[in-house]
Amino acid sequence: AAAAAPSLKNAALLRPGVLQATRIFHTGQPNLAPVPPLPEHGGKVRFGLLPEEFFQFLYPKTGVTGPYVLGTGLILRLLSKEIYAITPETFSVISTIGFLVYIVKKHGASVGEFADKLNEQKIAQLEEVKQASIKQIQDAIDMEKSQQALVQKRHYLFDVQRNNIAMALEVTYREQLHRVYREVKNRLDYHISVQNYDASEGTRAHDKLGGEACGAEHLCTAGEGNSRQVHCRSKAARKEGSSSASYVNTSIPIKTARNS
Amino acid sequence: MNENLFTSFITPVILGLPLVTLIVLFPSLLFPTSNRLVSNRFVTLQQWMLQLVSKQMMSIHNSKGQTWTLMLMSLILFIGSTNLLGLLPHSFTPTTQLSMNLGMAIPLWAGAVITGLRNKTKASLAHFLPQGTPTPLIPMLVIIETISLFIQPMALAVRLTANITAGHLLIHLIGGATLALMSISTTTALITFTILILLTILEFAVAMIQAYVFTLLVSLYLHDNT
Repeated sequence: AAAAAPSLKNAALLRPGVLQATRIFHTGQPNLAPVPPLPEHGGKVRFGLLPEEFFQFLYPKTGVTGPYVLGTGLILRLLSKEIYAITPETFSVISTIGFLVYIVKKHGASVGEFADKLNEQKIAQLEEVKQASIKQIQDAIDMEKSQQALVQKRHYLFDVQRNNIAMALEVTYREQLHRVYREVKNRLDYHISVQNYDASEGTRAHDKLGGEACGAEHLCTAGEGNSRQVHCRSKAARKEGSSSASYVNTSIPIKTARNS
Repeated sequence: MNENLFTSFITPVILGLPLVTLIVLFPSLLFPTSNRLVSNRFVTLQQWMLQLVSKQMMSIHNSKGQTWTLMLMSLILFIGSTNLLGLLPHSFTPTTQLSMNLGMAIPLWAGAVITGLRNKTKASLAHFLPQGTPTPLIPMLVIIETISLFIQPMALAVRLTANITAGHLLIHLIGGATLALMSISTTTALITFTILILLTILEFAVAMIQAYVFTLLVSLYLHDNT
């Protein structure tokens, strides 16, 4: 049994695990000798003592009543020759055996069913544990599957988030662009109003501000890195225009990098 | 067959060999062990019954008393099965012999008492004096309690012997009466036979009850002493 165990295990008188090893669970036959398996129901008997085969054995020669006649003859012989004597014990035999037979006939089946029910309850209890465990695992599997399905749909969420962020960035960009536009327009309006003032007041004031107009041109071309092209009017063109037409002739084509 | 009334109580000996050993050992064959979860009906019923009895009887004890479970359960099974087997015709009941019952009662009682004296000396000696006795009565009461203590094993053994023996004798006598009355007046014989049937039922009950009582008392002595 524990033959393969080395060193310390072999040292004791009775090796550990020997007694348990002889109790092998379901690996092979329950008996060591080659006994045939037991039948489910025992042989049929009459009166609880005489096998049916005896009656079948006597049937060809003596018919149905044969065994009964034989039995009656035997009993009468026993009694008449006092091989079996009637004693006080006979009556106790009759009462005891009669009582036992009565009890068995009346309650035998129900006791058997009770025993079967006990076994069934035992098995049902264990079965319930097994089923509960299986159900638990099944529920876990289903939940896992539904979680996985949910994960598949997550990209919608990410798209929406991405779109939101893009929109927010776009809005910020346009806001800034608009602010730049307003600032530039502000400056240009200032220059135009200065021009108008010069035109109305005289050339001396205009020469003073000439340097600052050049400065405004430098401001406009600074934004070329982002490919915003703001074409400012040249000094010469500004001199030609009148105050009212200057708004209309200011052209600021704006291109945005992201939507191109 | 049987010469007098008491032949059924003679210890069976065959050719000088004691058959009584086999008779005493026989009931153990009727309680097979099974290692299976689901056994046959016989074993299932026995296991169920044993579980019921052990739960009912051993739940009152503490953990020290519950070490006696095996002893008490085998005791009740042995006494019950020997009594019931003795009701079969022409059988010998070992529990009708006072010697055997004394052999069961004295060691068990002594074991319980000595356990109590060893482990809880003061408490077990305190059993000699019931609570709330008036002071002048104390010496007499201690003597009475001592006598009652020492009578316990005798009472156990004699109770079992007397009950079973008396039952067997009664069955024999009433059977004899029925036999004698058969030739005189059949009706009276039938009445007597009815009495015999009732007595048989009683004897079955007594057989089991006596086993129960014996074991219960031993467990009570144990409870007092653990």
